[in-house]
Amino acid sequence: MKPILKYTIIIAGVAFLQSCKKDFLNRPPIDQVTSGNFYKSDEEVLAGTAPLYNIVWFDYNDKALLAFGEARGGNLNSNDRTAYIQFKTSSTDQSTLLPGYKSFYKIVAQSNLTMQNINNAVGSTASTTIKNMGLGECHFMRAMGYYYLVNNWGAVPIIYDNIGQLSNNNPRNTIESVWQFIIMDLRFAADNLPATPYQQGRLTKYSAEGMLAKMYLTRSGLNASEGARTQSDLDSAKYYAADVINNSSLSLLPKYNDLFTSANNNSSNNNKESLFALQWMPVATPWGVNNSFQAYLAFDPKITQTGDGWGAAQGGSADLVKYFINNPADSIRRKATIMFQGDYYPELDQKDGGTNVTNNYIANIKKFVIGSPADNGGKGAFMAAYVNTYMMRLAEVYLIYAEAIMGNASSTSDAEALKYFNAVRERAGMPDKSSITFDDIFQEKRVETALEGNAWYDIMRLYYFNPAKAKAYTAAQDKGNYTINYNAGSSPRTWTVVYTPEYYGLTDQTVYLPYPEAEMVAAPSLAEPPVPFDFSKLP
Amino acid sequence: MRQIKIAQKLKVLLWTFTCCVLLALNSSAQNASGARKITGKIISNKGDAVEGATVSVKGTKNATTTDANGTFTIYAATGETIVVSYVGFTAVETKLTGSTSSLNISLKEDFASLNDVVVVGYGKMKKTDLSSSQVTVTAADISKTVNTTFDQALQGRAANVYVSSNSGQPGAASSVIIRGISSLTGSTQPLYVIDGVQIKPDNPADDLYNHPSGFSNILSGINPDDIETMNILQGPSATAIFGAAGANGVIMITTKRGKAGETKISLNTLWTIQDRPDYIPVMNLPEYAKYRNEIAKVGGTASDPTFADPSVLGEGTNWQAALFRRTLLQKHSLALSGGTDKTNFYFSGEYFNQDGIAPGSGFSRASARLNLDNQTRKWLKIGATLSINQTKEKVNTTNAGIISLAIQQNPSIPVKNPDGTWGGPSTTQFQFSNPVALANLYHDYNKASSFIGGVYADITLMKGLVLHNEANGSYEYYNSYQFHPGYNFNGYVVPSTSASSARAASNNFWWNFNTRLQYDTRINKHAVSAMIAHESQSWGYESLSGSRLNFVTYAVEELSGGDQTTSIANSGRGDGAKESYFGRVNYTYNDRYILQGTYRYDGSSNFGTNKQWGSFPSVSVAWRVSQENFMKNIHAINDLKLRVEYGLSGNSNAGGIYAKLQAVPTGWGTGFLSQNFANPNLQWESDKTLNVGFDLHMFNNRIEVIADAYIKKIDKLLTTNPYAFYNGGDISYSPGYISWPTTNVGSMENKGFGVTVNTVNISNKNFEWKTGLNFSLDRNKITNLLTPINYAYAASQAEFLTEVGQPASLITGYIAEGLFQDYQDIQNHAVQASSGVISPQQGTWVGDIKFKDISGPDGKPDGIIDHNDRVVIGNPWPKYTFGFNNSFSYKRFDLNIFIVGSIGNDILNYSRYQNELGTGPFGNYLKSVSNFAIPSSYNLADSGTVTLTNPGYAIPRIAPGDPNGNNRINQWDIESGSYVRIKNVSLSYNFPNHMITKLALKGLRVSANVQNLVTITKYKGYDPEVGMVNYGGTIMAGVDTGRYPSVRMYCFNVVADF
Repeated sequence: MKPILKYTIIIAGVAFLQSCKKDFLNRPPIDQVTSGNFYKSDEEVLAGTAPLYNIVWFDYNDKALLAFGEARGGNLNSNDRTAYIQFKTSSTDQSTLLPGYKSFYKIVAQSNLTMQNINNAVGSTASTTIKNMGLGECHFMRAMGYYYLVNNWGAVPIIYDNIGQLSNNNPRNTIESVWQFIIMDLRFAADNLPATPYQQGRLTKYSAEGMLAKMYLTRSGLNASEGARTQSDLDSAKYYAADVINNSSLSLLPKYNDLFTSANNNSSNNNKESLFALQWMPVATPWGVNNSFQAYLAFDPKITQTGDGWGAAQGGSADLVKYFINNPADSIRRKATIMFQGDYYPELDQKDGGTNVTNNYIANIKKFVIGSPADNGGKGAFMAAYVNTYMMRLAEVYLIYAEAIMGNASSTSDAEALKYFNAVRERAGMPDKSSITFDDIFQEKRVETALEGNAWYDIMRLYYFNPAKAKAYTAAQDKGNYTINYNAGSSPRTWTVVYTPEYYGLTDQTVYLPYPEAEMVAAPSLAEPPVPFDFSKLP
Repeated sequence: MRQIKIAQKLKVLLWTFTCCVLLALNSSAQNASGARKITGKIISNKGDAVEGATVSVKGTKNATTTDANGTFTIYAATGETIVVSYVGFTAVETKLTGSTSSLNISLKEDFASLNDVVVVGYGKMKKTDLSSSQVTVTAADISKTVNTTFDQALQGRAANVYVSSNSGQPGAASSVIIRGISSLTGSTQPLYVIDGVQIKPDNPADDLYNHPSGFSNILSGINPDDIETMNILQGPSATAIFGAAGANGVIMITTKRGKAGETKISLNTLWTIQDRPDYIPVMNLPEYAKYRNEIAKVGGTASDPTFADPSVLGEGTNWQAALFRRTLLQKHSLALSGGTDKTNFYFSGEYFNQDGIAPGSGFSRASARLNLDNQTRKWLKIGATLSINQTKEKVNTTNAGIISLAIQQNPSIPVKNPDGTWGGPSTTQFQFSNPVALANLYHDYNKASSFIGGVYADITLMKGLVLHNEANGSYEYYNSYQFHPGYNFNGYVVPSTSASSARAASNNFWWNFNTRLQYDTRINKHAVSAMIAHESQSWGYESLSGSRLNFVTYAVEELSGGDQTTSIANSGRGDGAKESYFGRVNYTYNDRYILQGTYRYDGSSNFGTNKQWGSFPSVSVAWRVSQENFMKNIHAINDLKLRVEYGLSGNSNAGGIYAKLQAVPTGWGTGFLSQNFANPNLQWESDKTLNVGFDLHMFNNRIEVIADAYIKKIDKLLTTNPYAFYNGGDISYSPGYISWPTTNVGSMENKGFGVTVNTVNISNKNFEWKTGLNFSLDRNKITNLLTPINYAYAASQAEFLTEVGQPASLITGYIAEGLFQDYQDIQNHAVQASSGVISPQQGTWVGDIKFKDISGPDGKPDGIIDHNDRVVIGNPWPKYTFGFNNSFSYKRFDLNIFIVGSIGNDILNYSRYQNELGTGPFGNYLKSVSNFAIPSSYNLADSGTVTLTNPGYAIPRIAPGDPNGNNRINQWDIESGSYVRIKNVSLSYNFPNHMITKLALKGLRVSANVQNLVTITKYKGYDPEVGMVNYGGTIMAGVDTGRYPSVRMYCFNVVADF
């Protein structure tokens, strides 16, 4: 009896007491930070906004930049972006349309959540300056997400509180509301971001102002017509562009080609011309902090030396080639943008003595193609080229400024406008102009920023106030194949190009991309007419 | 705080109960006086000596077991009753009379073994006392098929247990679904309880797009030969005792234990040849060359100059023949078991090695087990279950998608060059690598060492009252190795800068402490069995991983050989816990009326403090009609039991109460970004099941029928809820994603029934014929969901829809009506091409697939073929499944034929879809593609006269860029997945004693069998057994993405007992 009792008590005691610890069932993650214990110091706030400069933009940079911005913009010839080039994107496209769409709303959602987390941090010791700066970054990024959404899909739901609005019944908001929202966000950013970057590469007040200039310039045409764009918006565009030009201490890089090298444009070293660039890492872990652009576009794996380089069938459109053939003086930008047969690039694949271009069936892409890790100080990896993606350069602000000054006039000889317009041309080795029209500026911006993801958005800007012209412009772009052969011995160098013209213009039905099929299934309310956004709901 | 109070209250209750019981203790000492020595021999109905039979004196603890000759010695007095029992035989009772001192008893085979004691959750119970639905699979069943892992042995063995393997990769885990799926985004696999160790595996994952680093799980370390029984708990009353873990059903696995008597040594050796699969018919070189020339003709990629005259070309490379090989599977095991009346042991060791039929795949295992029991004192019994094992799986084949590659690579590429180096295409872009070379060059494998075991102590406090204490644990140490060198196959180049090595190590543990007080008593006609228990569990994992690129030499595969600047390192940790209080009361009146109630109160760390605890009650009643007096005259019926049960079980398999942040490298140091939408209000999923059934035994137990029907309603489904993408989330990883919240939104219903009929058709001294048939039918229906879950496989046209009113994960697609015959045909039809034009280059043309216009934005046909025309075209779930076993024994020969079948399910043959549609001009096509549609002209100017020159086939015209969208998945891509398979035929011979005693053997059995002998199916892929996998967080069923085939095996097996 007695020993039985004793052992029973011992064993039972051990068994029953082993879980009496109060916290036995409370197991917060031990290998990950949670939002509840973060965003409390200056460093944590800064670490909370830093990823908004890379990973959330991956799918934009990987797919949408070229397909939406350049294929639809008429600058790209590509075997796997045909639907975009020909304005026949299907809602069922899972490889480009869906990730592109998702990427913009990811940017919005991450910006919203970070904003909330900064505001709600309990026991925060972060300084007001840093908190405001962090909030400014979130507002800026959110505005960028909506900029791409409104340009590609028109009316879209405005999501400002991802927790509170989590449902499938959010209505679309009108295009006007979305623009108002974008401008509101950017003005907040301009008011709260510092004048000089807190760390190199981070957004400043002038980044926001440069974007404001672009947004106002675009919105000036909304619901307006040629020669009657909203003057107050044009004035705002001019005001913000002028402030950036006069007060930001930014300047054009002397050499156009230098803009697109890793040395002058990476996440550790942003240059003086850059207002906002996506800050990519030279590694691909976690997937998404990397710049996959070169992987798709370098025409030969020998260039990248990292097992990628699948761009043999990707190049400039026939229309872009035609411009450069017809404007041989624009050779600096040409050689930095697309490669013609017979070109020699000493900086690519240096260990093999550089790259000689022999392809004659297409003019492959050069911009942002930087070569192997060995060509770039050992930095880079498979699908991870160490070069930033420009989202806005000072040169673009110059051209925006010129157009804002011109305003509703059909041409201008304003000295300020000409000064900055010609500054862009001079760097490219192009002669000055003494009087410029809308078309001059439009063309200049297209060539200056070709393959930087900008072309379509300028066409949309035109479409807002002159849809017929935008349609005619795209319909006149040759999107067919061509062959290009260097005329051996010619100096200055000339080429013989044989075009197989094909034309695909946009229509009022194809100007916006379709909502992805999966999205329509989940949220049928997207088929309903858009409603104005109630701005009083904003916190 | 509340739950702690309740916990304390329960503890006080438990202690009070314990103390009362202790006070009531009386001495259970017993001593027989006047006992004399009785010796005897036990023989079976066939005249063989029965070893290991239990001989006991009724009403005492006096017991012994028979030795190898069937003899025993026991002390008993006149008037006492000797009871002889042995598994599978009817117990015999003999009252000692007069001066009997020797007993020869012949046992009769008991076909129903109704008196067996079976394992239930946290205890054992007499089979007749069961009031819940459960099925037992025995060691004999397991040994009848060749199994790499024991889960494979379950296939076809029990009703309403749907076992499918998604991969023939050796060692790959099977999917086991009991009574239909009960989760949409979580694991649907049952809880395995191996001698008290609880393991709940995830759904197996295996797809080319998103493959895991390994395909086996911790269960694959178990030697199937060590298993004595697998009890599959299905009824709610049986599973509710596991509370939150029981919702998917529970498989209780009991390993073998020793018995008193001479040590038995058993040596088992198995040699198996695995055959090649039947090849998928693909184009040979002349066919491929002809096709390439056609592509060039219609403006596609230029053909190869050497293809100019296909008729002069040879056959080219048959990549499947080059890849697949006949290989060996071998298994050798040794088991020793025995013991004394106080201590018994079971010790076994096993070596298993299976080379895959594709190079670069394989699985091997070495395992050892020691099970010990010791009756330390009259009141104390202790024991231990210890098993260790090491497994290794080679995964080149699956990691590099080599089987798909072998179908895709074109026949113009040689396997090897004349100089012996690996062949390959002359350029890299758009081309495919050499699958045979990759299978050999890659070095991807996983090693796991694990421990599974536990210790227990049973303290008998008084007669019928036992305090059972146990501590169990599992520990797994896992290493994953991947090395992919750079190479140059004739110009297909992966540079050395891309050569990569990745290493990962992880370990995980699980432990529990379980204390339970069990009381069994019988007062006259009232039998009560009660149990009250407490359990705590904890688990956790740690992982460390790293990788490097750019290897100068391939001689060193470790990270140190790579470029330090490319180094990436990571680590992870996590843990969880569960605490539970539970009890069970089983009351039986007069062996006729059985009432059982169970209750479990579970607390889980997966839920926030306000929703941490959940209650899981169940009740069941059974009526043994056959015990009633009015049935006594119906001799045909030996036993009839009607059962009804209702219970609640749950699922806590979810995370997401915390808003985690993901770490992201940035130019300014590590940044942090939201990783998930947190849901602090997450709570238990509830699974309510009603089950009715009966057990019938007739004609001297020669017919056994067990039937069950159930309705299972699952509410508050723990689902990762995909919202519209504008909410910013995603269902699986994408850069910067926020994973959707896990919510309790959604309900579904599973209905079904299962029937098992076991019969002894013929039984006489020389010949016996037994059959076993089980039939299952399960129907799943979604009854509530926030939004339909629709996802696409690999960003392709293959989409799967889960919506209210339908079973989960149906295959959707378009309806193909045929091919366009002429211009009018196109003109009169809905617009198909996204360009909207009729054109050979930019739109629809003769020879394109004609898709049916089913609906539009307004729900009516709208003349445009778009996503509105997508309908359900396939249901991946079988209408019913069955297993059918026939065993014949004639004298010393045994013949066993085991057939399994799955009827009525559809398969999306994605592999065929891909290889008919083509993966570019440099990939090969299926042979059937040779009959592609040929329009009379490819010239827009001829649109008035163009016709189809070869009507009657279903392969669309060649159209570079696919302007018509012929790549829409349609019903032609769906095939019937029904099959009936002769899974195993085995013939064995037991040598008679007189032939083997000279060899010092006590038993010798040789057998030959053929596994997967014949499969009757219309399915065109390698294997119709296409299971279910976890794809990016959801269930994907019935998709064949280039499955690793299961093949025919020829086996030879020798079992020798010493």
